[in-house]
Amino acid sequence: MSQGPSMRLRAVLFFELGPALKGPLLWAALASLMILVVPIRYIMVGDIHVNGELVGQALRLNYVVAIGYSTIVFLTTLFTLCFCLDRTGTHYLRNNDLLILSRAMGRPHFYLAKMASVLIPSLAYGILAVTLFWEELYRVAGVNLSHVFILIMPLGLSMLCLVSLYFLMRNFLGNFMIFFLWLLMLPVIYVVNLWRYYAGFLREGGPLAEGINMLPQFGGIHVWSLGMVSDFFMRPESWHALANGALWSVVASVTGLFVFSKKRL
Amino acid sequence: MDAPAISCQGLELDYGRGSRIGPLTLDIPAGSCVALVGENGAGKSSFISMILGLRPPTKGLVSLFGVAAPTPGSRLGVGYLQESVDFPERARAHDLIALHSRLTGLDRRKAARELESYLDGFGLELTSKPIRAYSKGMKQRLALAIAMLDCKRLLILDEPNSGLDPVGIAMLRAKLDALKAEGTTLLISTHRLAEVMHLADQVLVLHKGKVAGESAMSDFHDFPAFEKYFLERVK
Repeated sequence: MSQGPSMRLRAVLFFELGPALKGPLLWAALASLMILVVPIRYIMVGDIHVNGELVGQALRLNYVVAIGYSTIVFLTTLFTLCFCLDRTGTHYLRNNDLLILSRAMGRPHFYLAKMASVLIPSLAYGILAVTLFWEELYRVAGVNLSHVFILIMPLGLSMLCLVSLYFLMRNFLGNFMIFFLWLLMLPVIYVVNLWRYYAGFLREGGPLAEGINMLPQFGGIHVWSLGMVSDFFMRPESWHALANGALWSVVASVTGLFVFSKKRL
Repeated sequence: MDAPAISCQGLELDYGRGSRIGPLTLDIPAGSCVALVGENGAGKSSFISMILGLRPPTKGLVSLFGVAAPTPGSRLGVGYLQESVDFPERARAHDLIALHSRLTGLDRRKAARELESYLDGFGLELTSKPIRAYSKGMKQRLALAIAMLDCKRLLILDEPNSGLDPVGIAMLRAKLDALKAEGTTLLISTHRLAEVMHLADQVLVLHKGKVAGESAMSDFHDFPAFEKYFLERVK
């Protein structure tokens, strides 16, 4: 009997993973990885002169890594959002979900299985994207930048942050409203975080910067791993984004589980 | 003495704005067959949701076979058919049967071996057709097949005849008769009084969220007497 709840959790997880493995979303996500190859092919190959001077490979690599990391984070975020929408669509907490919950399935297990069914394919996609990026750099430019795999850790954390927040919001709002709010929020938490670390803008500690520090920073979370690749990108305070992401993930997951366990279905 | 299959003590659900269900205090004995009848909006589906722990009641307690209903363990051996049946469109019948077999703890290999004959018992074929290609009646048959996968102790059906053709209704009647003979407790919520008259031992009339009548089915010598009793209670 002790294996019962975990067996039921696995059963729901495998069922929910089905659409990730055979739906059109998988093919769209895989095709979008082509975008990663473009900056490597155009910036790392051949000679590039600026004001008549040859630009060295080290400087070019910085640009390629910055573009590549942003692209990986953007694509993975987009893919995760699509998955959240798919898994919490019109069938969420209707019909089959209610039948599952009417069985001997605890609500926390169900909630975690649903979250995991989004997280697992998203993270697998992120790992695939990072691997492709490393492989292309090695194959096209002969650069073995194994440090890029460090990105997987903050990427996983940012996915957890996003998914836990999405499921928490889904306890109160419909998918359409959440999608609209994400559209409003994404420029703030994605772009502003990058400005905060690299453009000098908002870095002086004014009231707006303090406010942004408190927002979920999964968009800027990769800043820390960029610093691991090159000193050029090192920002001593970038670990704040990781701590922020971890804190938001824990708070959103615990609150979401609590709210869901009390919810009237 | 055996614990009742369903026991409700002062059960209430407050929707706000003066709309509420209860208080309901009742016991449904194990092995009995109860027809839950009432008008649209009487609170039948909400009552069932509270029994299954899908809606936490505002006040009161529900227990299944002596175990408090919010505990997932209380729902072991309990089958449920919802009023509205609409499954994930891309899923296939055998995906859903496999999922619910695993949720009920049935042996996976045994369930896979017996899948074809099990579906056949409900007039369904083992095909790779997605559920979006199913008719309403086929979806209802599939929902019944899922509900009856593991209902050794209790089977709760909300409008079981909905969308079924006469062959399907006869099939359902035979299956319910067999379950009743095996000692499974049945709670059937329906608008079709004639369908439950031959099967139920007891009738429970809900009206505006409260129990308006409770009687043994043997008290009615024919259908018009049953219908008259119902109409008087919901006036």
